[in-house]
Amino acid sequence: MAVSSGGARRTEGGPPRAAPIVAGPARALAATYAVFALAAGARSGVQLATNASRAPVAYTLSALAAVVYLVGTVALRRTSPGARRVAVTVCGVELIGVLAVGAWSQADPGAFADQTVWSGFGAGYGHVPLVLPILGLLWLTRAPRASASTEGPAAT
Amino acid sequence: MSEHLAATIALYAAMLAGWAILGALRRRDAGSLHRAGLVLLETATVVQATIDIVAQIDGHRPLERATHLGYVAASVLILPLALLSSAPTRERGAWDAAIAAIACLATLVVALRLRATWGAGDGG
Repeated sequence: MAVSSGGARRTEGGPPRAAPIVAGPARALAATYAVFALAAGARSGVQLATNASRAPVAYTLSALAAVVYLVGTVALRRTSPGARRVAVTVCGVELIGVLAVGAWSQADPGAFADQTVWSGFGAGYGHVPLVLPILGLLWLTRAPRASASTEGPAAT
Repeated sequence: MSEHLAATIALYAAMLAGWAILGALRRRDAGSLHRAGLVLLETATVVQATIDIVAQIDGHRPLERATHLGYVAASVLILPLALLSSAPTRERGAWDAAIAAIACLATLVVALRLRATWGAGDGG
């Protein structure tokens, strides 16, 4: 997913747009985050509503993952420097979460009476939960955003 | 839930995903005909959800009822939610085709999960 300027060819000579369009890779990531916010949210909602006592750790972790994905969905679709920092934080938390929960679920399967989104490094979801924050961090650290060009000296 | 409709949705979503991926590989949006196809896919998931709920009111009890209901909600919400990330129609490019492909693949997975959690018997 390393295409240079991320699609979205502007119509040259057209009227300037009021709101800048977030670059393509960020929008594709945001869409994936939206799907995972839905998946993790629905999963934890169902599990907490019907069977909270069976695996409280696993279900609470799924709910936490859903919140992380939701914040990521919103932050990746914004262009402000603040949103960028939030997005970096979210991707970092997610990466640490999937690695920690993945390792924890391997080392001590008994701690989780049921699967979470992040169990086995996201194995139940085609490892997308593991790949997603890595792609997100790559994008956020490597691609300068047009609207954030005045952000700081270390923007390379 | 209708077994046939779920299978049809899965196949159709796979086709739309392939179409969108081809567009993305050619560095352009999948086009307005593809968007019409997405509207049809969303319509199919709404019809499917309606049939599903009606069958449950009629007494069918899915294998894992709560999980199944979660998938019903997801099946209807995925396309609108994912496509919120698309650019305005005139500005669309390859990445919007990629977004459409992601949404179609997610809809495909959910259609299969709907079948798996419905349970045997009077699937219709």
